[in-house]
Amino acid sequence: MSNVTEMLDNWKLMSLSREFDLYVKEFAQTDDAVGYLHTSIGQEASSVAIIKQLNQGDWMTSTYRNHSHGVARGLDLYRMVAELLGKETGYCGGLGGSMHIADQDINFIGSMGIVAGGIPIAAGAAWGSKMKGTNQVALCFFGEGAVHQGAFHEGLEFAIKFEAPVLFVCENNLYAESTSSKYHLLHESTIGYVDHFDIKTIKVDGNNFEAVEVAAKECFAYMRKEKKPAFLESMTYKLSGQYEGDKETYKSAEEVEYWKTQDPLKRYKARILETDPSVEARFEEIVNENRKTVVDAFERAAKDSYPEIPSMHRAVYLEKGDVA
Amino acid sequence: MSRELTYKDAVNEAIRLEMRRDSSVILIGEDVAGGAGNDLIPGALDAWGGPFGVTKDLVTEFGRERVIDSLLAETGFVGACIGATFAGMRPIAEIMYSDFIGTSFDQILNHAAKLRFTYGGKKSVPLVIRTVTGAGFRAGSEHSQMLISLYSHIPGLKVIAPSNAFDAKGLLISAIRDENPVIFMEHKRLYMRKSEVPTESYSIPIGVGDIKRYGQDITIVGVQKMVLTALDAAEQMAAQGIDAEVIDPRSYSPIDIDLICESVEKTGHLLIVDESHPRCSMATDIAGMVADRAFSSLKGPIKTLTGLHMPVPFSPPLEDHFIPSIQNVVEYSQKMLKGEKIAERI
Repeated sequence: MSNVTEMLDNWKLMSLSREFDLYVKEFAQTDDAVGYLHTSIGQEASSVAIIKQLNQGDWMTSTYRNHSHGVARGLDLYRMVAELLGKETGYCGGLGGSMHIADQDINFIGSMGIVAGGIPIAAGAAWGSKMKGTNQVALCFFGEGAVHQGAFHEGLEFAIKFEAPVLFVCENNLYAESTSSKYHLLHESTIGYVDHFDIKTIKVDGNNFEAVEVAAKECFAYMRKEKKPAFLESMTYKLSGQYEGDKETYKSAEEVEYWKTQDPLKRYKARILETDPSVEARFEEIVNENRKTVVDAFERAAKDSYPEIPSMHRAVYLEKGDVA
Repeated sequence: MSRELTYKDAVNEAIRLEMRRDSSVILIGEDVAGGAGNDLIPGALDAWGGPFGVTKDLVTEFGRERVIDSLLAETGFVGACIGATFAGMRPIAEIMYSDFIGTSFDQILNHAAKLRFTYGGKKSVPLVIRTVTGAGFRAGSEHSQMLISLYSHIPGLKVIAPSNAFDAKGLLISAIRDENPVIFMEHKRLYMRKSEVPTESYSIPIGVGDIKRYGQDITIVGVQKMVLTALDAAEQMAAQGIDAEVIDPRSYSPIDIDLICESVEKTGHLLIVDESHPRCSMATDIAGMVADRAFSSLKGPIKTLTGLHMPVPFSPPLEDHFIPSIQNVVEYSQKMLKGEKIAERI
């Protein structure tokens, strides 16, 4: 595969996540939308470049802001939408909802609705695999607000002490809900919260796909070889609000305008065109294809049934004889 | 003077009045003001007022010194609030959702609740923990729990869960003035409901229940939002000639069990409606206490109508099924009065 083909494939996945979220934003305005919806707009490069480094069987955890992680992990958009609508065909059978989209069948353990909730769990998956003698590693996403939680510090320390091969990825999007990182972070970078430990750390421009890819490759190579954890801070920006409906009055127009110029899709597109200007027309085609995939997913999932009541009773405990 | 006020505005007013009255009262929590770090941007100060806008405009009156956006670190700020009470502060800490209490629970369970008793009955901890409870918001399993029985189980904590704006204001004022740690539960699906609320300050004593509807035939105790479900059901049943009495305990620790027992002595029937999970719940707790004290008054078995023994499901029809409905209350009441067996709700 030529370099530009691979680049276009990466961009296509980022665009798919973007088109999904743009449609979610439109959908959120309709009466069919239920619950809380958190989009990943602006954070796609980081998600795609990092998740690309996972092997089959590697573990992963995400958060309530999971759309780009799901798309990047190759989840079926139709089943993501079905979950968002609470349909039985959704990844969690409709029991979880948009904040919890994940696919345990491919070791995407969960998207935790509690800040930092997934951090010790991801560390534990990596630790367990190490005890079992497999080569699986874990990938753990969280936002920069999570560094204040006890679960972050305790999970991190556990992974270091017990040498669990887990990559902690802090997607630093500059806001913990409405609170600026200028206020809530006591270090210039979240690395300041971890570098008193002996752990490999990298800080990267998370809106620069190629830079993230290089950093992520280095982290995964280190983890797989050394069987130890690493910490990657991916600097990014949420171009949308905390959740759909957030009025975002806490952001300045200048800041938002600046970050629009740093849109990871725009920046990567420019890099692709520097590599091969002849592919210009492909971008519009890709966006249109992706848009169609998204619309089809919504239309298809809308027709599906809601789960039956017995399914939720069966979901509470796993009993002998059940299919796990 | 009084006027119609929403539940959330009543909560806001209680905090505002107490903060005006007593400079040691402060409010801290995640985004209780919002926009911290960006104060120079117009609209950033007070951007949120919490996720439901309940604490809106407090920062504009009291400043960031007294309306404090915490870090995302509940153990830290709840624990610090406990410590600050020793220095004479009277903090109100907001846990954004009841479900998030887990991240601060050691400080509440082992410290706030025990710092008086363990040291020989000396100082207590005048701390209010406000939190948002309840299902029906399509918020999934980690943003929909009640957990009221978890809090009420712990000696040393007081627990309040008001069902309307009037009670919310009066009880929150009492909670802030109380010398002990109080968990104050605000139901997210009550926030926009209005009731008549006096403009002036008033307090409702903690531990005193309220009869929301007088009746002769059956006593229905509702827990927080389920009070409204019970009242709606009572209205429907009135047309069928069933006269239900609806009791709102309002406080759950301490609880006004005498009020419930007196009602049962009159009606002979007791139904408790609570959207929490059924096991070790407020419903079974009240049922147990009434069986203990007023068994001979009962003309039939006490019944509980609760949520199900499962996390709150997201899918809209499943979540609707999870929460006891008006129809459930009507059906249970009718069958209880006829002495008919009620199939377990599944």
